[in-house]
Amino acid sequence: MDRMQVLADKGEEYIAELGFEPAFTVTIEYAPTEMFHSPRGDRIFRRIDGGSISGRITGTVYPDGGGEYSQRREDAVIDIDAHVLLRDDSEQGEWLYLRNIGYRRPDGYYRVTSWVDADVRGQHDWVLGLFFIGVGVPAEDGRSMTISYYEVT
Amino acid sequence: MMDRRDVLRGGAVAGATALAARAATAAAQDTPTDAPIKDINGLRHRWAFSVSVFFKERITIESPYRRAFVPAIGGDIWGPRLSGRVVPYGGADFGGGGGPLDAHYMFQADDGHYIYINNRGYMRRIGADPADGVRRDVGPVNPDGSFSQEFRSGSNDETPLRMRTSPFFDAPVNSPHAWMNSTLFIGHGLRMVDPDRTIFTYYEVL
Repeated sequence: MDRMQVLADKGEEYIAELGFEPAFTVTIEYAPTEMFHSPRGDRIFRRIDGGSISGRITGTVYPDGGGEYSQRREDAVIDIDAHVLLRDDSEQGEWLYLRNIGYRRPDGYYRVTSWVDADVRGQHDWVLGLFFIGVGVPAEDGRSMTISYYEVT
Repeated sequence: MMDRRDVLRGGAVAGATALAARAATAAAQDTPTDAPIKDINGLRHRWAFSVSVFFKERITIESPYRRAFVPAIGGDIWGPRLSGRVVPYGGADFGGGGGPLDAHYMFQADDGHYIYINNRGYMRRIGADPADGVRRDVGPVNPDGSFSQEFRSGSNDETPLRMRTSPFFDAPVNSPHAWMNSTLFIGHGLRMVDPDRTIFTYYEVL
């Protein structure tokens, strides 16, 4: 197979290292799940009822408007797509927007790539433009999900 | 309304077809590899493959977000879990000229299967204000409205960049690459020149 290449690029020195720094943990509480069949699979709607964030950001999950709009595929994997609004516990209550996309597999694997929008004038501007990796663990009763986020450095 | 436990049970309620699909998905995740598993602060990951993507021309639209069009003219894929090539002119980076990447192009594995990649990411000058992203300034606008299309991101030696990407793949379901459809990846980009290219290192998040 013809390919464009520079053989030196395959040196071990070019296998770049990444770092993962614990950033924050978000517990998201959900209302009962709604699901319907769409042309591309089962659309799963989980309205967000509340929750909390702890770690480098502390505050609460805004209960009125966020949700998870995921899709279960034919291979039983769920494509996660969640939009979460957060408010920190400072006096002024800064708003943050968290977006999660990733996979939930039948074997328990729940991983998301996430990014956060925050006020450029606020105390959380360090999150801007970064990627976070989230590892999710559901509560036993299925009513909430706790996601540990790592900043990709 | 359904109980969420019904949702979590997944394909179990859909019968044998779904069960078979689940088994196939699980089997796909078990593709053997010699790459060592790394654990950083509890996050387990391993090198899946690397990709060099070659570039030649760049086209910028002086839109509010300075849309940049950078075709992938070819490239190479190597590593423990995938080997192949970047399909020449099979797509491009359509990201904003201010830094965000949003590339759509195609891989072709050594066994002939095509794999679609959507590579989203960011480039940040190290030490810069994160709100600024990376400035890839466009030249002055000429009286006729045209402007120079000459711009490039320098090599990592010239312009230390923190380039991270979060690629998502579509691979054929009945292929050895199906595991890529349900695995989260995180990538590192390294700018190189002469020839103009970026080396991406992709890790699968375990």
